[in-house]
Amino acid sequence: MNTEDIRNLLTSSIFSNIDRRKLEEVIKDCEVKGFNNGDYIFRRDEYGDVCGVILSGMVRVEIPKKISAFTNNKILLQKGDLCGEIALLSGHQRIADVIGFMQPLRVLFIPKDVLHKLTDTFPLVKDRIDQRYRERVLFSFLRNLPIFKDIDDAFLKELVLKATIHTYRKNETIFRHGDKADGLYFIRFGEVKIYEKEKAGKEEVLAFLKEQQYFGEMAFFGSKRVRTANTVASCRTELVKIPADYFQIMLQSRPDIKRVIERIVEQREDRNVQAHTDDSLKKTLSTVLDSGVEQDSYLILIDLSKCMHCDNCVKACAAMHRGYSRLTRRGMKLNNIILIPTSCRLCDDPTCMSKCPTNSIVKDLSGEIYHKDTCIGCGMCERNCPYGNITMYELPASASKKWSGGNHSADNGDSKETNMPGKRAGTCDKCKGRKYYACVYNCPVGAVRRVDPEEFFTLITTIG
Amino acid sequence: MFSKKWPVLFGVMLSCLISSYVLCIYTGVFANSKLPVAIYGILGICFIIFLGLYNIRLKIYGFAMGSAHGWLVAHIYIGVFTVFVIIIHANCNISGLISIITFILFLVVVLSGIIGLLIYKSVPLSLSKYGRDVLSANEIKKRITKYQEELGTSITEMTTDSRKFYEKYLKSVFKAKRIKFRYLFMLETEIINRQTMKFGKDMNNLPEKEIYVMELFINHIVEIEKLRFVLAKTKLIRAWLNIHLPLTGAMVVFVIVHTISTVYF
Repeated sequence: MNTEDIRNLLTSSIFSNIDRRKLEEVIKDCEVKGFNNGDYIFRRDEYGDVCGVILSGMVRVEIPKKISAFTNNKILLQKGDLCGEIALLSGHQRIADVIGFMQPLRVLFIPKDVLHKLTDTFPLVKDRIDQRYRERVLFSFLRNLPIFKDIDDAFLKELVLKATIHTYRKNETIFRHGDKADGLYFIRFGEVKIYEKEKAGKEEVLAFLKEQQYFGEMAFFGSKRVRTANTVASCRTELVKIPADYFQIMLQSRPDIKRVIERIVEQREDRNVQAHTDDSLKKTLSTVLDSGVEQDSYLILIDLSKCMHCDNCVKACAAMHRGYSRLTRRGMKLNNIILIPTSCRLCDDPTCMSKCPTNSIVKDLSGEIYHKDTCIGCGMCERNCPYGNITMYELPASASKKWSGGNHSADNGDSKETNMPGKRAGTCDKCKGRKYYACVYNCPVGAVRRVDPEEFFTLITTIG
Repeated sequence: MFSKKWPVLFGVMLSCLISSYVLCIYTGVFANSKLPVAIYGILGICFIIFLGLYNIRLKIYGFAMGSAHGWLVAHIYIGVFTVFVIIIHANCNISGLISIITFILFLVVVLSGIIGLLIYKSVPLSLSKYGRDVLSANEIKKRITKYQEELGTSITEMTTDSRKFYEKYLKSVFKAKRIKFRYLFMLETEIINRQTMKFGKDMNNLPEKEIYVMELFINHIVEIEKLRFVLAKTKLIRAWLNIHLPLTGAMVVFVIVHTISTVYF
C-alpha cells in the first residue's frame, strides 16, 4: 500500500477525518489489488469474508433485475466508495457482481477481522459503515417485500429513514411475552421461532418464520399493546424493525397495507389456536426445530414404513463417494414413520468450518459445505457440529493408499504415499455435481426422498 | 409404491393383448398357423429379459438408467403382464416335458414374486412400529458383539447368586449365535416381555447391590434381542432374494432350452 493509496483512503467518505497513524497500523496487512476494465472484483452468490474500498477508478455493480429495487440495476461506484460490505456484514451470499469499470482501478481489500478492528478503533467509521449499509440494504429489502410491492417510492424512502436493522445471535431473545410492543419486525435473513412457555416451563412452538416474513404485528391489534408470545432467533438472524409509532401511522394512512396485515393476523390467530390444541403438532414442531433441519436447503427423509433395510441407498452413496458412504440412517424420527437422517444443515455460520485446524471445510458458491482432501481426520468438526451431522469414516484401504495430503490426487489418480490418516470427516454433500441424489435414485421402494424444508414444514403443519 | 401411469399403461397393454387373442381365436389363426404362438412367445422372452434386467439395474449406481423405484414398479407390472402373455402363448395346450417344466418354473417364479411383494410391504411396517434407526446387517452384528463384549467382562465379576440367575435365564439368550426362526413371527414387544417377565420372581432373591447390575445386564440383553429381531426381518428379505433369483435363473435356462427345442424340432 503506497502513500497515494493512504491519501485516497483518507479522502473517502468512510475514512475521512480519522487518525492516519492508527489507520495505517490497523490496515497494515490488508491487500491492495489493481484491476482492469471488465475484471470481476466480487461475484454474485459468493460467500464473502472481505469487503473493498475503491482507492482509484470506478466499478460497476450489477444487481439482478428481480431483486433490484432501482429502475437501473447497474450502479457505478467511484473512488472512496465501499463495495462488498453487505455480504460481509450480513454473512450471506453476495447479491451483486462488482466489475471493474474505469482504470486505473485499485481496490483495498479489508478482511472481516480487520473491519471489526477498524470499527472498534474508530466509532466514526462504524457509524458511517452502518449508515451506508442501512441505505443500501433497507430500500432494496423493503421494496422486495410483497407487502410493499405496490407502494410509492416516497413512502418507502420515509420508511427507510424510520426503520432500523438489528442482528441477533443464535438463541438470542428478540422479545418476550408481556413486553411492550415496540415495532414490527421483518426477517432479512435467518429464522425466528415463536413460542409460548407452558406452566411446566416447557416450550410450546407456535410458528417458525423465515426470510421476508414478518412478526410482531399481533400486539398492535390487541387492546393492551403487549407481546402475546416469545420470539427467539433460531440461527444468526438480521431483522428490520419498523418502530411502533410509525407502524401505527402507516396502518392509519395506508388502508391497503392494514387490510393485508389484518388478514395475516386472522390466519395466525387460527394457527395459534390449532397449535395450542394439537399436541402432536406442538411436539413435532419443537422436535424438528431443535434438530435445526430448517437450515437445510434440501432435506433428506426416509419413509420407515417403506424402507426394507436393503442398504441400496448406502451402497449407492458409497459407490458415488470413493467407497465410503456419507449416508447415516440414524436421526430424528417423526411419529416413528419419517426418519430425518443426520445430514449437513448448511448452517449460515458453520462452527465446524471455523474450528477446522487445516481449513479443510469449505463453503462453496451455492452455500454447500464440503470437506477437502486436506482433512487429517482429527475429528474436531465432528465434535463441534451442533447437530452431530459429521461422521468420521474409516478410510477403505484403496482410498487410503491414494490419499494425497491435499493434492486431490485421489480424484485424478496421481497418487503419492504419505502418512495418511486412517479416518476422514465426511458429511452429506447432496451429491454435489451430479444430476441426481444417489440415495434417492437407487432406493427401489421410493422410501428415500429429498424435500424442501418449507414444503416439509407446511406438510407437518397440515398433518400435525 | 405405484405411480398412476403404470396402472393405465397396464390396462391398455392388457386390453390390446386380450383383443389380439380374441381376434386370433375368432379368425381361426391359432388353429391354422404357429405364427401367433411364436409372436406371443417372443414377446414373453422379451419381457422376461426385461424383468431380469431389474436385478442388474439395482447393482449399477453410477449411470442414469432410471430410478430404481421406477424399475421396481415396472418389474411388478411387466411381471404380471408377462403371466397373461405366457398363458396366451401356451394357449391352454402345454405339451412336452420341457414346456411343462418351463411353465411350472414360470408359475413358481411368479408366486415367489408375489410373496416377495408381501415381504416388501410387511417387513418395513413391522420394523417401523418402534421407530428404530435403519441399520445394515453388519452394523447390527457389530452392535450385538459390542453389547456381548461389555456384558462378558461383568460375568466374571458376578457373585454365586447372580451367576446362578445368569445361567438359568440369560445365558441361553446371551450366548445364542444364530438368529432364531421365531423372531419372524413375533412382535418386538413380545420379545421384550418374554425376556423380562419370566425372571421377575427370582430377581428379588439376588443381593440388593447386584439387582441394579443385573437390571442393566437384562436391558443389554433385551437390546440384543431387539437387534436380533431386526436382523431376522432383514435376513428374511435376503433369504427370499436367495430363492427368487436362482429360481429365475433356472426358469431362464429352461426358457432357452424350450426356445431352442421349438426352433429345431
